[in-house]
Amino acid sequence: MKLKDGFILREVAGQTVVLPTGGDLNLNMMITLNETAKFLWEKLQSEIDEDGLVAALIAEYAIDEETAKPCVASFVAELKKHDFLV
Amino acid sequence: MISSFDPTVLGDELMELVYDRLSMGHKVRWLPFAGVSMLPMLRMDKDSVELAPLPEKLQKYDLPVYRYPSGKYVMHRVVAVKDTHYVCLGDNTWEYETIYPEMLIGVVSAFKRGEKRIEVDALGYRLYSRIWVALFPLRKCLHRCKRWLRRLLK
Repeated sequence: MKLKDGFILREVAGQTVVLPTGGDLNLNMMITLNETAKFLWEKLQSEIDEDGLVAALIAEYAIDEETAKPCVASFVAELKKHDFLV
Repeated sequence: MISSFDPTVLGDELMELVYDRLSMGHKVRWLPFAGVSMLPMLRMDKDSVELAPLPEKLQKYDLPVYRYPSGKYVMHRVVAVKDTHYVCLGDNTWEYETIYPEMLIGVVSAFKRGEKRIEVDALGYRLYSRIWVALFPLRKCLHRCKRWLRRLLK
């Protein structure tokens, strides 16, 4: 899986905001990412599966698999809900 | 990990985003309205507006958003179009403002009162804006009388 084209991250007042790159901007549809979500978002710029995301998270934050797995699963579920994934 | 975006906390940086998108020719919706200057039409923390890029020339009754040199953002109604500037007035304010084209950012194309979307070309809204502006001298007179009475009763 990977992110759909057409979105960029922008730092606004200390928040990481996901913005569509073109078209109208609906502030009600916009989301912000915390630091972990931003890390995973950047990994999803290229093709990667959930196991790859879990491994990346473990390597970056020195956490165990039991902590990383549900974190990735919930992030991926939210991305699917917002229709960000190909 | 993912949260809804809260546009009310971003101030100037939000307006930069808005300005960028408008300058690309796109609309920005739903920008929260702050303040009481556009009552009774727009209520703080309840209503929001959709902004469109500026047309070549604004018309009377349009609702532009503009920025004062102090950095303050305002959205008030055009009540007169002059050769070099516009005269604007909030629906709930009493002083005319002189607004030059270089201060303008965008213009309201629709607004949401609660959950109801209202286009600026809707008949009901057009009637409201015309009647409200026409009644300004009377409203101002009533406002002055109210202030005078309050002072008298103190």
